[in-house]
Amino acid sequence: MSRISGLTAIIVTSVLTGCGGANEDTLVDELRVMAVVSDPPEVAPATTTTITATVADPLGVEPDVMLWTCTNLGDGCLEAADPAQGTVIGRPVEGQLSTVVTAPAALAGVVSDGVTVLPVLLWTLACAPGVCPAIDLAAAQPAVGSAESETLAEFLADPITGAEELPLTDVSLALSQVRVSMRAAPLQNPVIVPPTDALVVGVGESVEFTIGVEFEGVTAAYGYTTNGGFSSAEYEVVDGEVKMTWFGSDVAGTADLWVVVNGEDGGSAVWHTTGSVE
Amino acid sequence: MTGSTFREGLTECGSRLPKISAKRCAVLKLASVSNLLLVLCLWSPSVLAEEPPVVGPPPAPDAAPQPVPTAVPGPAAVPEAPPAAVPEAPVQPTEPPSATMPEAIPVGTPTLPVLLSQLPGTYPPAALAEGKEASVLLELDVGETGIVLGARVIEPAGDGFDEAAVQAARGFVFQPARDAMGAPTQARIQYRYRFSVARAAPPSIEGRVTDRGTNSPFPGLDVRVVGADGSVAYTVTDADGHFVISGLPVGAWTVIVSPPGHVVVTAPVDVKADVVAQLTLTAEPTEEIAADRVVTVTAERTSPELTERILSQEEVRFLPGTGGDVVKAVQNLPGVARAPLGVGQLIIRGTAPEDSAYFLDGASIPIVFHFSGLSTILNGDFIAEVSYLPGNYGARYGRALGGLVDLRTSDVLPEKSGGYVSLDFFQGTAWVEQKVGKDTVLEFSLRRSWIDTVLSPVLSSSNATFRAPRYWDAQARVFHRTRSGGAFDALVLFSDDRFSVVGSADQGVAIGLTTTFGKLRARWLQPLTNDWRNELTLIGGPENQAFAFDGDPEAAYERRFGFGLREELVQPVSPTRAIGWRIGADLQGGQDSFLYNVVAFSPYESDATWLFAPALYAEPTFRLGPVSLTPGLRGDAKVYDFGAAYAAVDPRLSARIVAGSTTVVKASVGRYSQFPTTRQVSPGGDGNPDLVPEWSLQSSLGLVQQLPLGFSLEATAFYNRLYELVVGREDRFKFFTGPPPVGPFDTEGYANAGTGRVCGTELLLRMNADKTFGLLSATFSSSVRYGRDGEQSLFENDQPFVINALASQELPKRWRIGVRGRVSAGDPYTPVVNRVYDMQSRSFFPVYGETDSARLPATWSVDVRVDKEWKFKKWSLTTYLDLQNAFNVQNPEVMSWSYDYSEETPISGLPIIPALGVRGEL
Repeated sequence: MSRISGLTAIIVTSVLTGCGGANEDTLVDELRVMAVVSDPPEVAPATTTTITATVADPLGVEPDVMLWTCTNLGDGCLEAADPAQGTVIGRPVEGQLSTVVTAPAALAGVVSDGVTVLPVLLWTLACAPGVCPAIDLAAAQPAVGSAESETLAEFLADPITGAEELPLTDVSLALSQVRVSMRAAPLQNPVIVPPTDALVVGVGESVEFTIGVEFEGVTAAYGYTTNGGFSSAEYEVVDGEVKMTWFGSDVAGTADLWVVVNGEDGGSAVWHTTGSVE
Repeated sequence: MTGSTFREGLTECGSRLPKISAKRCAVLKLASVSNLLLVLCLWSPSVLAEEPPVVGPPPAPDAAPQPVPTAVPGPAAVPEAPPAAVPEAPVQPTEPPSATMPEAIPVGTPTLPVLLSQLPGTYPPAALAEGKEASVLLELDVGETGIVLGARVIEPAGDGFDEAAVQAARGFVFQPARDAMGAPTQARIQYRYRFSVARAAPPSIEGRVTDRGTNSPFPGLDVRVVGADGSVAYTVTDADGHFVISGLPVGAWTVIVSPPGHVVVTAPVDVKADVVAQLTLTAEPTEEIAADRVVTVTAERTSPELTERILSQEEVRFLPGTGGDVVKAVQNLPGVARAPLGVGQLIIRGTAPEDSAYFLDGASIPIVFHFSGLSTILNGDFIAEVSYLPGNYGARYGRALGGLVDLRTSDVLPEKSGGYVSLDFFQGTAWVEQKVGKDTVLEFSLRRSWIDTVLSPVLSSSNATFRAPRYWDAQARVFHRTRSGGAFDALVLFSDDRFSVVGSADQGVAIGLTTTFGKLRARWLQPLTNDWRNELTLIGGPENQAFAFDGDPEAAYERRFGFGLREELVQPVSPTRAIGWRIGADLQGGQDSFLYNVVAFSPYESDATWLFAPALYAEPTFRLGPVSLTPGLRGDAKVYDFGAAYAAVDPRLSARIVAGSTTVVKASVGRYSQFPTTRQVSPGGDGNPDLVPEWSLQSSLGLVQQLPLGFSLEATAFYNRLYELVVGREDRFKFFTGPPPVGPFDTEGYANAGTGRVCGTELLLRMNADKTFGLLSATFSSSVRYGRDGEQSLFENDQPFVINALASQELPKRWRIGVRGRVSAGDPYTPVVNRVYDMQSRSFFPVYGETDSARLPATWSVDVRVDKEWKFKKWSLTTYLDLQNAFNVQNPEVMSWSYDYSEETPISGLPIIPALGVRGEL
């Protein structure tokens, strides 16, 4: 058996592209769903949680956003019975769209042991107006059993396959989850304590700032911006604090910045602010 | 033949030898073949010494004997005189009969020479190419010891037949003539030598003799070839210094030439069945310090393997782009796809690298290349030849769906001790070859790459230390030629490859790969009676591959302590034997252990199990005139200690037809099985013990055509079907075998749910002229797979066309220049049409489009190499510049994407590499 590794070149490439300066992965230069936070992140069946989608729109396409859940117990999405009712469509206000979702009561039998945690998939699709037929279809509220409803149900059940038909630009499809359990101590979201000072960085320079994180457990922080970039795609939160470095680009102006904090086992928080490159 | 003709012949014989004791003349008629005539004359040694033989006029046309059908298929020149010649008419003795006459010969009856042994003569190449046949009547002077003292042409045929007949006759060994007293005596006989195209024996040795300094050829030079048993064959060089000797029996031979004004050059050659050994002998003028050594030993096997292509060290030593590595040069041959990123994979006839097998003298070895394909794991000076079999090989080999490469070590003792040190861009090498007595040689090699010392600082960054690939290997070998003509050969081999990326000081190795193995290979070669020969090969030692990840130095590994044994008996087809045999047992076994504890790739897997894989095979070869048929049968089994057992029986058949003097047609069909890997069947590896062996049905049809001016053309069409292919999680672990895979993965359990089809055409145009070596290879193929759901996809390295052109030209004053050009289609890949952002991992995952609906751009590159040699009194110095990818073409070779899959960012192959090397040799 041949066992020659060609991994060398891959690693050479990754090392070369990861050297110093701003990490290009942290620059947001197109439509992107930045975070989807469910509060609380873990709920009991038939109880509600507030879902908030945070969307970056640096190109100003003013997207429509559709959120929907898919509870799959082996026979496809429970929500497919009336797909139009299972979706929430809206246009973000100040980059956010919120809705309240009720965890399916049908899950009670599955999680009644107080130990089992069942994830319910939470999909978010952000599209420039008119780009995504599924959003238009859902907005039309097709009658249950109609061909349009079947088409919509098909997309909502398998949006990955559906995305094959969508354009690569002006579209952002994101996957997150809401946890359903009857645990006595359900998972909680981290809490971000932002810096008190406004973020300002010189052109082509960097600035380091610290945010606080209140959370019981291991967390990681991720920084994103529309101008320049962060020094790393991921930061480790240590002792409730994380130091992050923002590199300004060579172009002065304002910048949107997002910091997302994820718990290792789930739960998340997002902080959005506006900084400036001077 | 009529009685009058006999009398006429007797009369002529007497009349032609009036000065040579004419009374001893005799005419013989073969005992059982009435239409053969052998005219013999006895003469007195003293008379012969005083008076050179006189060649008389040729016999009358009707006295010329007719051809005799021979039971020997395939010999080149069929002498009309059988070994046993019985006198028909008594010779007029001049001395009383002896009491020590040979058996069956009445005491007192003088006897004539009886041919005891002969080597099939060499057909004049030009005449053979034109299909010409002829017979030459010779007059031979046979000495008291039975050797031929002189040979003259009585009835010439021209076209080189006369010279060839004379040279062939010089190698005859007779039972000497005896006078009436039974004492050996000299004799003069007439002998008709007939050349038949249909029975032309394959050449055994081809070569050329030149002056080392001026490189000018030696025309008309005597070439003598001496066998271990004292057999001798002769030929002479042509106007360009070339020579050919055909039909030599298998074994050790020594070629000896003595150009006037030059030192004698001797070259040991190990003649193998159906192999053409090629020599380039260069002779030093006597005024210079002797450097009488062989420069080149190459060989080309013609059977029984149907499509076997052999490259020699000498052929590729100066080829650009190979770094002088004989195994790397295989990547230029038809049937081999371009390996992405220049790694040392061999992608043969549309099958994955892990579907091909690698051998060292028939014993399985885990790898043949160090990391990135920079070098073969064995110093090329141990390797006499590299046999590359893209498919339809014989029953000797198995356990592979695809092709194979067999590295064959030399069975020839060197002329003298020596050694060298070489340094180049990639590595340093030290080599010592020490003769111990006349029959034993010790060889040592040590190599260490140092490209890591250059690349590591360059590639390291502030947050990661890159330890570029580095390897070392060491070999020690003892080879002993036994008095019985056999040989004992033991080789110890160690190889160690590793590279890594180290994160910050407290993170340890972020990612790394280590491959080490050690092998002890012992081999015993022994010729037996009746041309049988026995070869016993033992090999054993540990293999280890470890994958370090995220600070864990052994996050994944595969280990084997394996052993292998091959016992093989071979009786080759020969000029006197129409049936040959190859019978053998091929055993493998050992303990496999593995661990996969890389969450990113798979669930935890671990197991250790013993396995035993015996195989038996038999392969006769029937030669029926111009047709050779080689049916073969191989039975394989594999047993694990956890109870799983597998078996396969693979029948194979190949045919070779010599169509005319310059054309060979080949056809073959056969079954080839490959057992699932240990991890695929192990319960500890979440494997499926119910898997069955994968197998392929391979068929091919080929044509080999000799062309003028040293060109040859080989064309092969092949069609292979693949069955019971194992599909499943294997895709995830390709980091052990090559670049990480891209595209959708089959993440379900292992199952024999795949099939495939590979078809194509391979062309090889080769030119080997005086100072020029050229090779043009082209492969046009299609390789398709059908997955678990029956969906068709392309093989991941399906390259519809691969074209390589190489040329190397020797220049005056020991300069040499070579150029290689390569063009090939890009690999297919599945495009990413969209992406999904996963909020938990904060990363994108791709949404793939239609499978294999995109293809990387075609690639091309040019390599240039220049060599210069300086000769000194006691040593030589060679320097070279191997400019790889001379135009610095950025060929996209593996598709990659930006972190968010918004852009395709293909990874390019190696940039321009000016590899400068120097080699000093004693």
